[in-house]
Amino acid sequence: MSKPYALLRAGFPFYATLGMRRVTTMPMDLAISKDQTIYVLNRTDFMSEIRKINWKDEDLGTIPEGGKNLEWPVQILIDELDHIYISDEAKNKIIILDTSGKELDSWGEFGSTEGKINHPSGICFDKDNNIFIVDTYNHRISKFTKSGTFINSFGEYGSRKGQLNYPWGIDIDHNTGDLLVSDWGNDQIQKFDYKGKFIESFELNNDLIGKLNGPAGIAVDSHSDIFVADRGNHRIIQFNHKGDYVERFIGDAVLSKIGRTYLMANARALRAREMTTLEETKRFRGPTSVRIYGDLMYIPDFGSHRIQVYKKEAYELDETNILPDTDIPFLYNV
Amino acid sequence: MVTKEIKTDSSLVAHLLRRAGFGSDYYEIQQFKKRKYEDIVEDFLYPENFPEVEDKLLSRHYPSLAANKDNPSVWNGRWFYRMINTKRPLQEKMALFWHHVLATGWTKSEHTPTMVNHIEMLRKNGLKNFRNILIELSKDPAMIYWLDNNENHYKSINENYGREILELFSMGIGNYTEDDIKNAARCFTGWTFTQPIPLYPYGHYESKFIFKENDHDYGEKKFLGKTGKFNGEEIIDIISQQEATARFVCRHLYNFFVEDEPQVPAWSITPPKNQLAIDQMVKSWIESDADLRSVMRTLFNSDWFKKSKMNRVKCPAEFIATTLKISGEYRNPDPGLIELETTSMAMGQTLMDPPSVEGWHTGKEWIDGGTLTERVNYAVGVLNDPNKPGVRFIINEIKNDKKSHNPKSFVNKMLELVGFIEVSENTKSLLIKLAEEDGKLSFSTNKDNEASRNRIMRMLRIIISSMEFQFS
Repeated sequence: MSKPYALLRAGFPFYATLGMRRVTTMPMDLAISKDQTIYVLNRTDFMSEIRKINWKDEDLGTIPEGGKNLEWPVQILIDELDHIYISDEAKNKIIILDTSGKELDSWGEFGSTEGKINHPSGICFDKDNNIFIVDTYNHRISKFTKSGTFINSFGEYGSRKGQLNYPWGIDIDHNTGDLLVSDWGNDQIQKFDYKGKFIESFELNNDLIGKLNGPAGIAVDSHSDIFVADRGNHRIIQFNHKGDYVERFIGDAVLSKIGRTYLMANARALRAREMTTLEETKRFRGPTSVRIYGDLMYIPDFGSHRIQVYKKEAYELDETNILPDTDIPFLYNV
Repeated sequence: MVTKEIKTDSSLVAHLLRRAGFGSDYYEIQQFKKRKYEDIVEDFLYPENFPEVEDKLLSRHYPSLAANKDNPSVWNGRWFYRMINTKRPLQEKMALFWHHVLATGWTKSEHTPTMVNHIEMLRKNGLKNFRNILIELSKDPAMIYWLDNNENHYKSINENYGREILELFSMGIGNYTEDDIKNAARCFTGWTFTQPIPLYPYGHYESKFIFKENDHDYGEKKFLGKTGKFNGEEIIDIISQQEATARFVCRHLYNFFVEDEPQVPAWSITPPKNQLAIDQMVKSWIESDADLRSVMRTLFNSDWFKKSKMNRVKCPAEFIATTLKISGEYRNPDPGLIELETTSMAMGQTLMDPPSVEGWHTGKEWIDGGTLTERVNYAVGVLNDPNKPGVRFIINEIKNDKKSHNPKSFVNKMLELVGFIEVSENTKSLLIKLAEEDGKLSFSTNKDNEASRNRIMRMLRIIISSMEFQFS
């Protein structure tokens, strides 16, 4: 896989809504297994759990039983063995489960010295199956093997380039090996190379749509486009590989199948919906994550207890299709 | 730590912080006592001059605070967090005061957004003019639904809100007629709220006040001796100008901030405990045209307030917040804030959900066999841990202050370290007797050190289990 020379961006329409309150309650993050089961990490106010759903919007049950392993989980990953990795910022652990919810392992030691962690949040795998952890309260990124052996770390507290302030999300651009980190406290995105050397930072600075406000989860797709859960502004922001703003997503939800089934059996709720405008029900509320699987973008819509899915339509271009890259604007009728 | 610039007695500072806020730790008292008492009061009266509680990190770890208002427990947890960490103590305390008086509850509607917004409304308006407060209250969807004003129509009035705004929220029983109630209700016809989107399938959404012109009674009304085509705001003008309103609300203020009064239903037949205090507050009310800031200035600067130490039973919210300030917990957004709602509930007070429109019964009614056990067990459970930052601070302060190693000084110092609480002579002599049993504290060897730490912990447990710790 390699990054295309350029893209014809044809559209990025809304695709589907999945889940509802009491099933995908307060979804913090999600991951998809080989058999296409969607593992939704629910972090409710009272307990945390993983809810399994599928594309038919069916509730496939909860793991682990009673959510007993989890306290304040932040992100979830599934590896090629279908092992589930969860960062827990209250337990200061990475917890590993199988798809039945059985705990296979957990590791992580609280502290600030090298190899210890304090409030782990974002996690991602690299090509060698190591795991990068956003070590939030230590304001750094730490790399471990999947079994928890510390490899190295980088980053420090601050607001200058390369410094971090309570960072949250992380993902790897598999075209380049670069790491993209959402720098939550500084309202910006920072890019580091695979070894942790600072490359660049970028923020949203757009007259029409303002700035990032507490960027949370982050994802990079196969075109090296970058997607950021702009949580404080209740939206997802898309940047291209250079950090230029491309598009925003504010939520376009329709009723999920399971939501529709619920409503059809509830006369009172149906009447209430008839008495008011439903426009705001489309919108995201405090999304904490964004995930890319193929051409689909999944947004756990935390405050609205559902998953919104968008589908990217883009066509890869080579040098023969498009003029060379330039920063010079031009006016031209074509 | 002893400062050379003492402007206000520590005990008085601690008293003010307990009443105008939610208690204090020892360090905070040391900072405040460098300032003149009246200056501290002025700062409290102008909360807008001080920063808000930092919410961003809190809502990162309690993510629903940034995304929805579905669950009251997390919002009550946030309220406790504010009580503990606020730089604007009187703002939070006034919100709690008005929540007691203008009691509106979650149970009837189970609609958390309106209750959260209701408390925010009390927080924003608590120190403003009483007229403001009543207008905002009358437009508050939580109150409108609580007292059925959404069912108060031009052609068919529902007098529930018209009655309670007079009986419980302003003048008190005996100062108006049944016709006044009906005419007040007519003035609030058409004051209702937008239909919120239902909870399922995607969570609660908010509701807003709306005025339905075609459901409002524009006819002439007689109210408290005046005649006109009054609307709700004009009715509130008249109510705010009544001396009976000033007397009723000032008695509520006295009850909450100064000294436990009998329960409200007895007020029409039982005179206030301190008529002079009520008269002084009423004078401020009238001279300032019902400005709460002026009335609260009079209250806190009065001699009767300064002399009123340790004579109010803490309500559960105060009890929990003051205990946590001593333990030093929740200065950061740690796990467990949500459980504080249940803790408070077990002591008889679920925030955002008072038992009725009359609010909670206060004073000694907070205490019965069950709630007292809950309170004592909670305080001991929280503070019986030498690793908690506040407890560690207490141990180190005693250890480092050699003057406090003899039994009598040890007791005095411990009482200071838990917030300068004042105990009866009997309690103090018992504490000293207990301290004397093991003689002077010593930290010279590891064994002595451990024994002295254990004695400090035991003394702490006993002090917080004392009757006096139940009081503010």
